[in-house]
Amino acid sequence: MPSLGAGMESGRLLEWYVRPGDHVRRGDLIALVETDKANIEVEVFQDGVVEELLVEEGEKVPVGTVLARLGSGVAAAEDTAAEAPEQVPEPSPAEPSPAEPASPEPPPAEAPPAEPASPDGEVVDARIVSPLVRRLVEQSGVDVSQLRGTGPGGVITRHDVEEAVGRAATAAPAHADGAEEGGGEQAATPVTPPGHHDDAIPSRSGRSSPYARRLAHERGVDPATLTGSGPEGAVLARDVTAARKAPEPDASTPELAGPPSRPEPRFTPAAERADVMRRAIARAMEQANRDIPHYHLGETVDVEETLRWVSETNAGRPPARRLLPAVLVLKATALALKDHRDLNGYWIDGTFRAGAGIHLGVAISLRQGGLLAPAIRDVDGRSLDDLMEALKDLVERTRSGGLRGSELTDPTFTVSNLGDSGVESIHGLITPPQVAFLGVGRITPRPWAVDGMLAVRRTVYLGLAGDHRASDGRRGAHFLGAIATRLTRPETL
Amino acid sequence: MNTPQELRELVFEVLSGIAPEADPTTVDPSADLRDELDLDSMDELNMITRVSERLAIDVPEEDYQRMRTVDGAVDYLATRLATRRT
Repeated sequence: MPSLGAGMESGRLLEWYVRPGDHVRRGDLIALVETDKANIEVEVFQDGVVEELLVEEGEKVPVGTVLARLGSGVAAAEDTAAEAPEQVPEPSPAEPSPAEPASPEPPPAEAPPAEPASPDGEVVDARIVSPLVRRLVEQSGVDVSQLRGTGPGGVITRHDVEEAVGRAATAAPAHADGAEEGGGEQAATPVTPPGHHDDAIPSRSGRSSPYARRLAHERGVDPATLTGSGPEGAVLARDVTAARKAPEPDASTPELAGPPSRPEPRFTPAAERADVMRRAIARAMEQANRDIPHYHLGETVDVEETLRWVSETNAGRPPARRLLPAVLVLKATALALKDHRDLNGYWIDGTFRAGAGIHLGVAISLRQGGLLAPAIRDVDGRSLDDLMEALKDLVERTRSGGLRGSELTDPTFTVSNLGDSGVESIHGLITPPQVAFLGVGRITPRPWAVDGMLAVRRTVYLGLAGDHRASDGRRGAHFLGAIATRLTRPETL
Repeated sequence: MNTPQELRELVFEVLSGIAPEADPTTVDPSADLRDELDLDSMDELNMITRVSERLAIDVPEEDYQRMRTVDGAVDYLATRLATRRT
């Protein structure tokens, strides 16, 4: 059970996406885990073959518990007993793991690289990150090279495969990723009154996870009508979620045809969830305040020209392609971090460890209360348009429960745009084990001296919190200045 | 899709997609949506994107502020649709 953020003590394994014998590649999603903050899809850290699942669905285990055993595949095929299987690397429970950034193993840097050939005819494509999708591709025999990936970063979703196979328009419920296009077709799923089923109702294929059954029961969906995306066609929670758009008998609010809707929290009731989330934040922030000697610096930046540039850029674009100023702040911060590596990384065991890349955690509030700060990776090397898409996607998935484990453990620095809620300045707490935090205040018109004359300019207050163990105020001041300089030259971002 | 009632329903529909846990119909139609539904600038952009796509009209950035209440949005959209047709 990986630590998926500061303050995480345990996690409940809701669902396995793989079963023994499955080939997995580094970065594949293998399980859905409920943490105190959210349901997170967990990735595997290395290639291999699943030999044994050690934690049952529904079981809650402490961080550090081994979830599954992976083997090389060769051993599994020839002589399982002869070769000691490698264990899925996990933080040792003996370590003070809540403080660990991520896991000792660096999370997958990106989608697994494409490989020219595979030893056993397994479908290989860097755009396939889910074993479910790979299985579907293998079973359907569709030509991978002809598939268009509509998922984040061009990833091939189940929906893409189904569409290619030409049966997307049938009764098969769309994967959540494809709900945008497929949403209208799910009305065919019949609704059964709650109470009709025991929890042993199988899917068409006869299998479903306990969590999926409970969810189906709660929602009055009949799992037998669903096409499962799990091992051997087992119905998974995601299938139930995808089917939830079936019209309810007393539906008073018409479902929106176009945009995707957000799945509801899936396991713990919302009220309880908020409570649990509060406690998780409490643990992380107690640790932050107890262990990190913070220094705080702030600077007001004239962003008049920057905002004009944004307006001019947006003027020629439809709303769907417009930029938010927050994206420019992210990019400016990432570029400034390139020259201030001592603010980008972690403080662990009394020393600073620089982050492998510049992965900015973005604080995103949840509607039921609380917040998460998942990462946008490698912000320094991405275009503003690309970052805007990434931010939209991240906000959407954070609020719908579609985050991956690595997104929560990747951040090397965190940015909060709380100014959006109307405050002028933020003096924040650093998320352990990170070493710095930037709070972005509200955009505010102020009287401002320009070339010796008084003018009214739009300004923003940037508040930096630094870990004094890792850097000094002077360094932090230099960093803030670098962000300000970048921000006032939007054309260079 | 151009009577005030239809526009109001469209706005509610879009808002319930953005803030599914809130019941938009309980929103004070003259109150700032960002306060009422706790919308941030990303939500606001998503709302405008969806409304503009549904009605096939452009909503320039300088007009965002006219979309900040339900009443304001309905009035604004009615005006935009009327000018488009003339």
